[in-house]
Amino acid sequence: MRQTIRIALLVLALGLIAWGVFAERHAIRPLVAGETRLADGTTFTADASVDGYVRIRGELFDAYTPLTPGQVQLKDCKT
Amino acid sequence: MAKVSLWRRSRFYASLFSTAVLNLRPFVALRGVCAPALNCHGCPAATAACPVGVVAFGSAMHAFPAMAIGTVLAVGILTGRLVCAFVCPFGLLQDLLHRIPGPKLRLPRWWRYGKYACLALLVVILPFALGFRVDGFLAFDKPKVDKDGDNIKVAVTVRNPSPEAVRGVSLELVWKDKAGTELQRLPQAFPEQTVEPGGELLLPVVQIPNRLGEADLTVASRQAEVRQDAGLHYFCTTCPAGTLEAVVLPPLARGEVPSAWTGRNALRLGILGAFLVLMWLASRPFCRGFCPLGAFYGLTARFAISRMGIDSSACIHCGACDRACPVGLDVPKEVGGPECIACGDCMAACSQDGISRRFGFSDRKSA
Repeated sequence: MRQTIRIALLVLALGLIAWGVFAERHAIRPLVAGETRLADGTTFTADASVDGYVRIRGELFDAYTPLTPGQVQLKDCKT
Repeated sequence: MAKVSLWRRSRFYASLFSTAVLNLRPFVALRGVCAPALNCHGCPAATAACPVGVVAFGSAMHAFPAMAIGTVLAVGILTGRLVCAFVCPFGLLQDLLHRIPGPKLRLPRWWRYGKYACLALLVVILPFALGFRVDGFLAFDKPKVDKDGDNIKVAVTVRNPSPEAVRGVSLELVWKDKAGTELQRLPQAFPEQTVEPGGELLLPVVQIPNRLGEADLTVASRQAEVRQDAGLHYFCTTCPAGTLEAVVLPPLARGEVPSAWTGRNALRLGILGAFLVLMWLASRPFCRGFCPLGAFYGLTARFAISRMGIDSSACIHCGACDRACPVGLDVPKEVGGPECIACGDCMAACSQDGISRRFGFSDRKSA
């Protein structure tokens, strides 16, 4: 029984990683007018490491959208 | 005893090497993948993302971080809690502090359940339910400039894409030369102005002397920086490993005194200080009672492909394994279980060679 569970969990883990690389997609909108971009698993992980999104009304927005022309917000984890 | 000492030394060097590899940010940046161990990505030196931070952030964003969960599940299934013993930098620190001579404590058995509560509540449930408090959000268009003799009239349109009204608009008019060097900054405050969610506001025209007519005018505001406050319900805000790696060490590495040791930071530092004392008194108190990653790996330990096992028929009940165990287990009963960090100290201590590391999908011992 454990042998089956081990194989199943390993397949699940590898499947999640593969899905993360090839199929995981999160729609990220800019805070101001602009095109929505899609973040895959690696992008989501990298953006999560800098608290990169803001959730508003169920949608994800790029927390680093420059809100003022000429402004650049430094990506930095708030921790 | 010499065998245990040699084994522990090799474990120490493995952890030291892993700590170096996990903190190679100046040379290698792999923030798109998760480190297998708790290593705060708020630390400027961190090579990869912290899996606990990514999962907690995913919970707060209501997004399923498949890659992060797949990574920790894969590590857990392959090695169980081996990472806690051989890879985790915070585990290394705990081992080192516990070596300092002094009074030693035995942690109560219920201590171990704390990490499962941390995983469920502070990484998944509360971040999902409460999310972040967000403020900031004022967006400014490029100001409209109207030259009028010796004066410049400036009109600024302000927008608010956030879900909350922003009261008391404050902005700064910034002049830069062609090379982008800032020449002058004039603060402007409009305490009576409120911008409703999704709304726009044309601020009153302000008139300023035409001393910088050739310079480029932009608008800046502290309210244009989106700030997220995670709150104490979010594991990362109180994580002692994060406090040490992201709040305390970076300024010290720059030769500065860490600032902002007040408010929430004071609480964080208090938690870190309490754990540092506890690490001296008790062996691996954080791993055993609070680490959510340890809890996750613990859930996978029984099904790990590499795991510890005991040959009960070889056991002479001498207690050497119990004395060697850094997490205070009743080794004959609990080795290879969710609390076992698979360090192998008991294996080195067993005079009967009754404890071994097993590999493979099947539980049957190979001949």
